Amino acid sequence: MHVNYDWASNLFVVVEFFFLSFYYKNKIFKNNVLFYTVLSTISTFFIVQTLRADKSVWHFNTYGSCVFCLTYIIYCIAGMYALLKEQKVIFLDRSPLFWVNVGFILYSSGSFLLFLFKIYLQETDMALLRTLWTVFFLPSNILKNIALAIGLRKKIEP
Amino acid sequence: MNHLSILIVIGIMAMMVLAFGLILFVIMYQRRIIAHQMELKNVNAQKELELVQASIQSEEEERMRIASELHDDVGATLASARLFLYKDKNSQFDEKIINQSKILLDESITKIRNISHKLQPATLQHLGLELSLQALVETLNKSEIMSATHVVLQPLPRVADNVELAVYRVSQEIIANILKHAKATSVTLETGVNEAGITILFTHDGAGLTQELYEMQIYKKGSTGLKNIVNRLKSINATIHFYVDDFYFFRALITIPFASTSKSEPI
Repeated sequence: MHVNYDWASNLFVVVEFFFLSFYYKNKIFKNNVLFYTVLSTISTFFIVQTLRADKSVWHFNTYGSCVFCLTYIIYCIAGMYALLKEQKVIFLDRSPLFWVNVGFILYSSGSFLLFLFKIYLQETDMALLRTLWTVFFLPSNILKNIALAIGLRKKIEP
Repeated sequence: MNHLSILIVIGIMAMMVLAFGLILFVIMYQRRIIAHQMELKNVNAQKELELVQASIQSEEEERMRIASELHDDVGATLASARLFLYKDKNSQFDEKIINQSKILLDESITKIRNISHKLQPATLQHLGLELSLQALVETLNKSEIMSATHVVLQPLPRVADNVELAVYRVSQEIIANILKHAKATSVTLETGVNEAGITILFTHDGAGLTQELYEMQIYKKGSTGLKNIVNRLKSINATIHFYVDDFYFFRALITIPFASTSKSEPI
């Protein structure tokens, strides 16, 4: 019996986006207006697009996830820039922000195009999609989780 | 596999490479910043050392100037006055007053000579550190405040003037501290040479310092004597270690590495 977990995936990516955005809030956003504008625009786009789709929440929203990945890449680049600019930590490996940046930039860059072209590949070349999923998405997801685990072990910077 | 599929694969690979490239760039950039900061720190430390050396040198020059003024000018004037008083035996002044004046003048001359010797230890320049420390110990014994002993484990070689002067001043400061704060009744000074360099060990039976206490004291407001010790030893790259031995005697060990004992040009 096939159980559809796509609703859980949709919920997971939204929650992940909210958590990560609030994590980066004080680190890269200079004012709250910009932060809440970005947060509300992107989350509204994802929710509306998910609900408007044929199967609604029962189908994983790849385009929405693709937008999330693009946002994560921007967050990570801004985070790296903030690390280099502020120079609060001398040794990067001691900074949780560095590890979060590393994890999410690897994950997002590996997943961005894959989410964007997932539907196309499902229709034209399922074997290639499986290969790409195994070679890029799964390893980058594992790397992300390892980097997050390392980051969580570090002391929170002032 | 069609063209778009190939492009997707290339695109994903390119993005991964870019991500790795960005991480590498950040790491390399930070390394450059660390190297730059280390370089700045070294330059600052060097400048600080030069400033300490310069201030010590100017202090010594001032001491020498005052000492020679006292010895050559004030001392000579007082000696002349003394001569006049001795010569004028049949004057109309009361002989008792003249004798009293002679005693006072003699005392003044002796005091000035002592101050002059303290400011500019002539033995240090002519006879070296070991004999100067011996003289310091003898002065202590003469004062009868405490008993002092100098033990020569190995004869000390002659080293650069600034090193000898710094060690001598630090020894003076340590003995002054032992007298003032430790309330010791005896002190032993051992001088020797080992593979680490020249060593001078002070042992006393008073209430002295431990290394922990010393490190706390030097960061406190005041403690000028200890700060002087730190600065003078820093200027010659020497170290000091305070500890208590098995018989509860307090000890202070000064180690002057051979690298800093060579004669060099003053700043």
